[in-house]
Parts: sequence; C-alpha cells; structure tokens
Amino acid sequence: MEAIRIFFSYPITILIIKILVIYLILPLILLVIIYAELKILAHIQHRLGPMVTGGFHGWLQPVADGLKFFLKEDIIPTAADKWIFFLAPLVFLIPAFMVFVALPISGYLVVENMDLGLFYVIAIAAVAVIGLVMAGWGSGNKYSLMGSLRAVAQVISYELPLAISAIGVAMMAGSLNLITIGQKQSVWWFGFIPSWYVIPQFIGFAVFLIAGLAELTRIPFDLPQADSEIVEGPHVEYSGMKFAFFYFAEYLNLVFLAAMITVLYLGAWNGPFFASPIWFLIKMGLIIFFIMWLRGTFPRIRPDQLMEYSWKILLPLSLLNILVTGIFKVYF
Amino acid sequence: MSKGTGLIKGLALTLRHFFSRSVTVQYPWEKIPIPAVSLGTVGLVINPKTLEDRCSSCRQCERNCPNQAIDLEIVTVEETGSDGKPKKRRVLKSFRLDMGLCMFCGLCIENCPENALINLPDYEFASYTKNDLVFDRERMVGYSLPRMREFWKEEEKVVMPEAKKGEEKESEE
Repeated sequence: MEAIRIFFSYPITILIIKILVIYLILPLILLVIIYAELKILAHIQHRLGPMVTGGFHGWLQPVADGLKFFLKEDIIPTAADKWIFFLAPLVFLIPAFMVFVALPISGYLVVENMDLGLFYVIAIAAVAVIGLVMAGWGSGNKYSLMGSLRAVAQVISYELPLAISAIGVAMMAGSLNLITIGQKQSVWWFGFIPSWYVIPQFIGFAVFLIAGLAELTRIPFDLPQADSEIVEGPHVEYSGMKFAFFYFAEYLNLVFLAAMITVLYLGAWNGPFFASPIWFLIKMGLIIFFIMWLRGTFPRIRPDQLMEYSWKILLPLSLLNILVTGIFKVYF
Repeated sequence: MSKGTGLIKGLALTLRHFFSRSVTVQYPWEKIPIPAVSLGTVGLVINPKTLEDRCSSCRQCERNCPNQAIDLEIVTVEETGSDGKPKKRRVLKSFRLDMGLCMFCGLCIENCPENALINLPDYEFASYTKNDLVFDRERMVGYSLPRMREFWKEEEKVVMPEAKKGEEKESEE
C-alpha cells in the first residue's frame, strides 16, 4: 500500500494516467465521428449510408475501414524521398493529438491546465502545416507537390483570421487560460440569457468558424483534396497506415475545432440548470453536425475566391472585431 | 442581403432531405417490382399441344441482334411431303442465346415473323461461370411455357390479312 501511495504522489504519474485516458478515448470518439459523417452525409443526400457491416445500420463500418487500412500494402514510390515520405504523416498526426492536452471538458477536467492554453493550441495547430508540405514533396509526384502547395497556401492564409478572432475572446475574458475563458461564460443575465461570447463576439464567431473550416480543408474549402477531381491532393501517393494517419488527423482536427468553438464562443460546459461536461458534448455534437451539414450542401470555392475571402474579407473583419472589443473594454 | 439567401436556401433543402425518408432500395432484400411486360429474358415459344417449334429458322433474330448474342444451328432435312414427293425443310437444331451478351433490347422479339420469341420480366441470372449464362433451347422453352399469356396460345401461325384491291382504289380517290 505504501508503494502505491508513493507511486501516486508523483505529479507525473497523474499526468501520464490522464494522457493515457485521453489517448484511449480519442480513437473511440474518432470511430463515432467517422460513422456519424457517413450516416449524416448519406441522409442529407437522400440515401442510407452503411447498412450491412455489423448488422444494425452498419455500425461497425469505421472498424472495417480501420481494419482495411491495417491490411493494405504500404507502397512507397520510387521517386519518393524516403525519410520525408515516412515522417510526413507523423508530423501531421502528432500535433492533432497534442492539442487535446490543453482542452478542458469541465471546470476541472483537463490534462494540463496551462495559463497559455489558447496560445499553445494555435501554435501547435500551426505545426501540422509542415506535415502537408512534407507529404507533397516526399511523394515525388508533381501533382502532389502542387496540391500540397495549394493546401499550405490555404491553411496559412486562414490561420491569421483564426488567431485574431480568438484574441477577441481572450480580450473579453482577460486571460489565455481556457478554463478561465470557460468560467467567465457561466453568468446568466436576467436568468435566461447566457453570457456566452457568441453574443458580443458574433463577428468573431463567424470568422472563427469559417477560418476553422478552411484550416481543416473541409468543404466548402476542400481544394487541396477535391475528392472528385484530384483524389487526395498531397495524400495521393499514400496507402495503408500512412494514409490512415492523414485520414484520422483530419477527423481529430474536426473534433478539436468543434471543441474550440464550444470553449471560446458557446460557453464551454455551462448550461441551463447545471454545468457539466454533458453540455460540452452536446454543443460539440451540434457544431459537428453543422459542419457535416455544410459538407453535404455546398460546392467548392475557387482558389482565387479562397484567397480573396481570407485576405480581403476575414482578416479585416477580425481586426475590426478586436478594435471594437478593445474600445469597449477600455471605455465601458 | 440577397447574396446570402442562396446559401440559406441550400441549407434548408438539405436539412429537409435529412429528415425525410431515403430513396434507396436495398437490392437483395427489397426489389423494385417491374411490370410483367418488361423486357427481361427471352423465352422461346412452342405449340403447347403438339410441342412443335414455332420458329421457322429464318435467322431474323440472329441478324437483328446488336450484340450478336443469338446463335442458331439450322439443318436442312429431306423428307417426303404429303403428296409423296421429296421436300427439303429447314429444321432448328439448336438455339443458343448468350445472356451475358444480351442487352435486353427486344429487337429479336420484334423482328420474329412467327412470334416465336416472347419477353419475360426475369433479369436475375448472375452465375459463377460464363458458360452458365448461355441459354439453350430447353431452358428458354422452360421459361416461356409456364407463363404463356392467353393470346399466345393460338394453335395456328399468325396470318396477316391481305388488303383487298377494290378498297385500295376507293381510298385513293
């Protein structure tokens, strides 16, 4: 018993246990999200989606997909740069996992509560872009390279509006700590109006949502993938587990974007009668449904429209947002 | 704000689709019922009482098939006619229809002068080998016999009535 008490008295033990819990739960969440995407897109398109795998409405389809990725042959093109080709999926996937360390689900449930939580999240998310460049170059395929250059142009253009609109929230909360941001949204005015930041920061919310969709390279901003045209852009030469890493990283980023929107704008874990992680998951689920709804509805944006929206519309809007927020904070 | 309304209308439409029934017909368990006169497989008709082929071995079906799926073997037999003189007659030795090539167009059925071919609404013939898909005469007769419709069951061949010359002159005037 004494040994167990000493074992648990080291802070690093608790940290490692928390990390293990998160990283065992995340793949399960991923399976649910992949299944939800297949079914939601199918019903939006008036069809049924998976129905056979595993019996009831194909609920084992994502497991079958994962098994398929394990069993596929791992092909490396002759012209590929072997080390870069090998490391690119890792460079893309690991930041997608790392950002979940700073994410609070309730007032006290977080792996590591960092005072620079928001800054950490945006910085780590920016590292994943290098994975895209490495994928395009390492494939040894000029179309992959062009696809990855377009992808990188899109992702770095939309990081600015993303970060600046998040700064608006940080200004209102007075802190970069994600738990503090959540706690500041727990007040209810007149008993029924929530103090969530989506109300004062509605411009920032719209900008964050649109820029986030572009960060994920998700429809309507899926030029790098263009599933019906160039098949997967920078990921076209990847097969088997390496492709699975890109695929899972994309869905993890989706989950993370929904979580960020919930924490920053929709009042994190606060809800009508009690504050709990259940509200967090409900709001996250609604955002994820909304993003998949957008995928099933809209066509793709042209590259010139893409750049125009980022630099000429979203960036000035986000700057306007922080200007007005700053004026309000100083004078009111 | 007329620029943004298209987006909202699109979203409303897809949401309506999301909550309505899908149109998928899950094939092996649910099938779309097709009319009994659909062009499916081809059946070969024989006289149900005398078991004689209606086919007069004219090869029109073989010539008109766009995919050349019909293959006929016809032999000429010599036999004595009703008046004692020797007479030659074409006899159908084998009738092979390759269902793997057939595209269910019905041209063979349309062009048969003897109405020896009929269309049946069957279409599910998937098999493990290509040879199983070549229908011979027995199989095609087997398909048609149980489903003969009343007006096919006549015992004589169809004879088209000839136009009378007197009536033709009247209509010209």
